[in-house]
Parts: sequence; C-alpha cells; structure tokens
Amino acid sequence: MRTTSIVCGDSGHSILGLALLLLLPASSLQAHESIEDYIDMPLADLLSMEVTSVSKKKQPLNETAAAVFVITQEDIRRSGVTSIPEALRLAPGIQVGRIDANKWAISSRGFANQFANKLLVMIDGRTVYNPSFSGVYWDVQDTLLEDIERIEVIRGPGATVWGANAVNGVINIITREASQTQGGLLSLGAGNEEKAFAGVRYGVETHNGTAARMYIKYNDRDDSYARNTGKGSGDNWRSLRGGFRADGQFGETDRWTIHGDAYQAEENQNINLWKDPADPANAVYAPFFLATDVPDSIESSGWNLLGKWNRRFSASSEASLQLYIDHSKRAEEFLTQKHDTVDIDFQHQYHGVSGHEIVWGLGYRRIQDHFSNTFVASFLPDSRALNLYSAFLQDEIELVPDTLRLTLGTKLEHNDFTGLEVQPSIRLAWLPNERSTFWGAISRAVRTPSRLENGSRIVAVIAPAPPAFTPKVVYSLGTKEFQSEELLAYEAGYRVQPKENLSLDLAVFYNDYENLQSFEKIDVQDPLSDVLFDNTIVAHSYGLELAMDWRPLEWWRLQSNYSFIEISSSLNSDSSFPNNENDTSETATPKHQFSVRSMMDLGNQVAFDLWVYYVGDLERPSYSVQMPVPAYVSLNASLAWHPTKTLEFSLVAQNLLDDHHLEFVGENLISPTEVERSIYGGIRWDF
Amino acid sequence: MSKHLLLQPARVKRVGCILLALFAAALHANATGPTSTSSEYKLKAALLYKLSRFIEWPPAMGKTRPENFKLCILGRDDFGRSLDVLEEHKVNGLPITIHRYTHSTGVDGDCQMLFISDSKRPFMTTILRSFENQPILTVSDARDFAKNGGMIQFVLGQKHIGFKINTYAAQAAGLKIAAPLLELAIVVHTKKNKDTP
Repeated sequence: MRTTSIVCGDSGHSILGLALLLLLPASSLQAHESIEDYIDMPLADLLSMEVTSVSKKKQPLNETAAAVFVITQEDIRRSGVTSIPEALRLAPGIQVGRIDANKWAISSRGFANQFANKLLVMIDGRTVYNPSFSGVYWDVQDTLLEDIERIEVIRGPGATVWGANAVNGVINIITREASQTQGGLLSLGAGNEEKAFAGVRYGVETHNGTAARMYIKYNDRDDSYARNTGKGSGDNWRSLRGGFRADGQFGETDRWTIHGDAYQAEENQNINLWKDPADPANAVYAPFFLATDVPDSIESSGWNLLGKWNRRFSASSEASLQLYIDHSKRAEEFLTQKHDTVDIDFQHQYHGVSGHEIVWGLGYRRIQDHFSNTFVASFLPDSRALNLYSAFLQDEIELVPDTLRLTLGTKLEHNDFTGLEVQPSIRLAWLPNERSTFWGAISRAVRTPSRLENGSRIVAVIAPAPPAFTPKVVYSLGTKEFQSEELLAYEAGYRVQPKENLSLDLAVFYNDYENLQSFEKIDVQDPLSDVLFDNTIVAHSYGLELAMDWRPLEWWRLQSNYSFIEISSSLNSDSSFPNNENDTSETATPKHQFSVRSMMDLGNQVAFDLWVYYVGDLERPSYSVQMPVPAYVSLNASLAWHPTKTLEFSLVAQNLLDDHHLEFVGENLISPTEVERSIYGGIRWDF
Repeated sequence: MSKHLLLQPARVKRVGCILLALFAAALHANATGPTSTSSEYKLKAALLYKLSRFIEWPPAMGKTRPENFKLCILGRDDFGRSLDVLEEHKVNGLPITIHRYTHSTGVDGDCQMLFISDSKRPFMTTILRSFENQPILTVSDARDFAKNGGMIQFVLGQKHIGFKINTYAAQAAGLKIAAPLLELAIVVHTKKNKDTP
C-alpha cells in the first residue's frame, strides 16, 4: 500500500509542476502562430518567417543499414489487434506465441521462451526489459493503442546504440507527440474474448506551443482454453491504466517532453506449485509434492515518469538529456517482486565535420529490487541495487555522398555482474540509385546475466521417495559464475522499390552464439543433483526475412512477409547432460513463418481487411514441459465503417479457422492453454 | 490480497488523483487559447493556400464548372492536421477539399493543385511526365523538383522558406502565374523559355 501512495505523491507533484508550466504566460515564450494566423498574413511576410526545421533530415528508413520494419498507426488500427504483443505479429521475422491469456513468448531470430531474453523493448525511450529474469512482462506493457505513432522493429543486434540485451532485436514503441493527439477520442468495444474495453483520451494545446494529453483505458479479457480440462483455464484478467504526455518548447532551441503512466492489473492464472516436503502440512501432496492447477492471481501495478529535454546549439549540434523513474510490482503465489529504476541518459549529435555524423552518449541506470521469496522461488539476496554505467560513440561517415555510407560505433557498458562489456558494430550502406539500398553489418552484442542467473534458488523437481524417506528437492541455482551470453552477428540486406507501388525488403543473417545459458549438474554422478545456471551452449543460426508491400490499386494494399531460420546448437563436450536434453535452442523456433495482409478501402466509408499468417511447428518450446506445438494458420478479418470522419464502427474476428489452437508452451508452473477464436465489435469517436 | 483490487475505492481514488491533476492542468492550458504548433509543414500548408491566390487556371473546357477546389496530396502526408484547416477556406469562390493519394496512377485529373511528397522522389520524373500539360499546379519540396519539370518547389534556406518556379512547365499546362509571385521566387528555366523576366 505504501508504494501506491507514492503514485499519488510523486506523480501528483510533477503534474502540479506541469500545470504551472502550462500556466506560464504566453508572452514569456516565443509566440507561435496558428495556421489561421499564417493564412491572414501577406505572402512576403510568410516567406520572411523563421522556420525551425529538423536540424538534419532524418535518414529515410529504406536507407538504414539494418533490418528494420515499422508497424504504423494505420497498421495497428486496421489489423484489429488489441495489445502491443499481438501487434508485433505484423512484423516479419518476429515470433509471437501466446502462452496463456496474459503471457506471451516473443522473440526475434529464434530463442523464444516464456522468459525469452534476447529482445530489448523500449516504450518512448524507457526500457521495459526486466533485469530480474531477463525478459519482458508483456501483459503490463501497454498504452492507448490509438496514440502509438509507430513501433520500430529492428531484427538483429542493436547493442551499439541501445546497449546490452539488444541481442536478437530491439522493439521501440513510440507514441505520438501531444500536438498530434488533440481533441477527444473515445474507444469502446466488447466481444467474447475481449469482454470489454474502453479508452478515452483528451488533448489540448496552448498558443505558446505547449500541448498535452491524458488517457485512461480499461480492458477485461476472457480466459483461454485449458488443454487438460477442455474448459476455461482460469486466466482471465483485467487492467486499468492512465497516463499523460506534454510536449513544449522554450524559444526556438529547446524542446521538452514529460510523460507518465500508472497501471494496475489483476490477472488470474492456474499454476502448478511445488510444496515443501519438510512441512508436515504438505503430506497430502506426497509423493510428488506438486499441487496442480492451483488458482492464483497476479497482482501487477506500476508507474513511470519520464522527462526529456532537447537543445539545439547550432545547425550541426544537438543534445538531449533524459531522466526517468519507473516502479513496478508483481505479486504471484510463488514470488513477489518489486523494482525501482532510475535512469539518466545524455546524447549529443554533432555533424559539424563534413561527411561525418557523430553521435555519442552517456548513461547511468540504478535498479533497486526487492523479492518476497518462497519455497518455490528465491532470489539471493532478496534485495539488491544494481548499477549500470554506459557510454557510446558512433560515427556515420559519408564515403561517397548520397551513395556509400559507413557507420562505426561501440557501446561500453559496465554492469555489476560481469564488469565491462564492449559491443561494437560496423555497418555499410550502398545506395546505387534512389530506389535501392544494399547494406551489410557485423556486430557484437551480449546478454548480461539476470538476477535469477546470478543468485537464486528455484525448485526444479521434487523426486518422490518411499514413505519414511524424505523426498529429494532438486534445485536450479543461480551463481556469480554465470557469464554474459555473446553474439557475433553477420547481416546483409537489399531493399528495392522497383515501382511506385511496390517495395521489397530482404535481410539475411548468420549468428554465432557463445556462452548461452544452460543447466549443469553440480555432481555429475548424482542423478538427483542440483543444477547450476551455466554457459555451456554454443549455437549458430542463419536465416532470411523477406517483406513485400504492394498497392495494386489505390484502394487495395497487400503486405506480406516470409521468414526462415535454422538454428543448431550443442553443449560443450564436458557437459553433464551429454545428450543435449536440456537445450531448447533448436526446438522452440518455427523454421518458417508466413503472413499476408490485404487492406481494402471499399468506397469512402468502408474498410475491409483480411490477414492470414502461418507459424511452423515447434518440436519442444518449453524447457520443463515436453510438449510439441503443431504448425497453425490463423485467419483474421476486420470490417470498419465510418459514416462520418469522426465516427467508426468496426467488427473484428480473429483466429477464424479453429475453435482453439496451441501456440506455445510455458514453463512447468503453468498448464498449457490454447488461444480461442475471438470476435469483437468496437466504436471509435473523435471529438 | 483482495480479489477486486481494481474496484477498490482507494485505488480508484489514486488513479483519479493523477488524472484530475492533469486535467486541471489541461483545462488551464485550454483557457489560454486555441490550438497551434509551429513547424515547417504548418507554414508550407499556409503557403499552399497563399500560392493558389496568384494562379489562374484555364477555364474548364467542355466541363461543368467544378464545385470544389481540389487540393491533392500524393505520397506521405507530412502536414498532419494542419491541412484540414484549409478546408474552411475557398479558392476562387470554391471551397477547398483535401484528397490524399498513395500512388500517382490513382490521382484524379480534377485536382487543381497537387502536392507531391518527398517520399515520391525516386519516381518524380515519371510522375511529372504523367501530369505534363494538364492544368494541375504541381508543388513539392523534393530536391530538383522544379528542374525536373515540377511547377513550384519549396526550398528551405538557412532559416526561411523560399520557392522556385518553373514557368515553362506552368505555361505548358495553361496556368498563369501572377507577376508578384514570380518576383518573390527563383525562376527556373527548363526547356527553351525566354518569356520570364
């Protein structure tokens, strides 16, 4: 309870500050004319007005020397997806597997898992990667979807700029500036799986160029299908979330932004729970000491506040300073975790030297965690503060103007577990003409140890014993010996726009991994030995992703993509598991994925979209549960009617081809569940 | 822990506390005046309207007089909402309507003014050729637009927006550009053209 009062105290405080900012008299700031004012001015006066333009034109996406895909607001809206994890299915090469109603396994270029750890995720510059288990709690990563400007999906390492854990990809969720979300928005809907959702946003703007918005949203979601019982799996959930964003400027050189969110989710789950054999009260669970399908609820809450200040020193020099605080709490039967993060980040862009664009930055992050340990899961110690210091430097060199570009850079990062990590990259882009780009890159990235791997004690299994003997509890232990996972990635790509209405994007890669996380027995001879988190897996993967965007007609757009990946991995020869049985690197990733979306505007008022995607089979996605996932095809349709510019009615149907299907299997605490067909109707009103 | 945390009055109060504070701020902000943001494209949107006052379109031969002034955007729309304001204005007594197109083959021949986004640069010459000699005022901020046969090109100098006019292209399409506008512009000659001052 103490923490939530901070929500009100702290954010309330900053919001008071914001209110004061907004009350600043307009005269003290540079006056900004409205377009109406411009229209009334003589032409000659307009031409003599000073214009603040972006200091340097942003590099067009199709010239980037990386495998980038952008999910736009239009994509999100037209696809009918209702959450950020589901939206990621729109990107090529991203594996999205729903484990249960509120859990997802999401990964880029392989290695998906309930605790997939090689994908870095940021929302408006704030990292939402959880350092305790190295992964993302997707259920609580949300905002008003209508306010998302775009989701940048970068496949392959992005560690040189973004830092550790951007191993196989980076996901950047970027919301619209407050000036782009003016006025009111009301979004309401209901369906069988999306039982009820509601979102409201209101945005205002002042004469001095300050704009602000606030939103609140609520979701009530049904449970999924339980494989074991054929009934609902008791994982329905509800979440409530609100937030704000304000953007403004001081004079012509300084821009600022402040935003924050607060959320609360109550998520049910059915779990399998190990019971302590030493406690006589647990005798009823003998001999396995496993309570199955125990109803539990996850109580999640959190808030964050971020401020960013940009200053333009000259036409060739610009800097930004960003500070955020983030609090999160997650309580489940087997563990309660709390995190408080403070992050400060400075970045400077300088292109005063002809042909060079230099970016460098410094960062510091402090994460204070606190765990309420249980018999099943213990973090050791149960409370700790972790410090992360980082610096990066990148130079983009124009070798041949508008034709050949070389980017060199490195990140230096110091963490409390493994010390200094160096993550350099070299990228080359060749633009033979305005319609095509060839690129190549070599980069190194690391996945730093999580708190779990560095110090923990988790029940792996309880070995039954005949009466009068104490059953043996086998633990997985995290130790200080655990090292960073390492990747050396080789990538290349080709983008071409052969016609005005057709573009193609191909990326190929070869990844070389070392020190991947494994488990090793402490006593090789003992079949019931405790196991340690270790680094004894080496792997390599190769693959390709192909995306196509084609508008055969002005009112018809087709977007499709295909991805292929082959992973092979092996344990070191001295491993205590010589048969590779504790490695799911090869078995949790679909070899082939395919997606086609058709978007049609039927007249001015009706939009009709179809989306089919195929995900190949998984031999064994879960480390602890031996269950394969068959390949599946999902068909989704959406029909939207907007009788006026400000009103839209929509009907969305998802997973039309089957009543329910399995997409992924979580670790042993969760019973396998299947995704059901979903149909919902919605209304959106802009006012 | 309670099973219905979301509905607990204390929780609702806390979320409400944040939102109310923000809303108070928002209301204060609203009281200070109507909306605006400064940007290059807001100015360009206004310029599109201003330019139209200096252009004379040829009478629509064999066609009924148009009901609207069609301002068309081809390619990526960088104007956002600032363009919508123009729909409250008129050109030559005709209310402006905004039309957006993703590719050039779909563009309606009835557009009086066509702004071509820089996103179409790789295909600019082909696009311009397809509109050649049609009474459509072509405008863009893409590099070399006027040189390649576009009529009006916005250029961004050190701090100010200026424009280049290709008088030959305009004349070939039957558009007349008033002298005061030409005086403010850099006149570009492509093909043989000696009529401009």
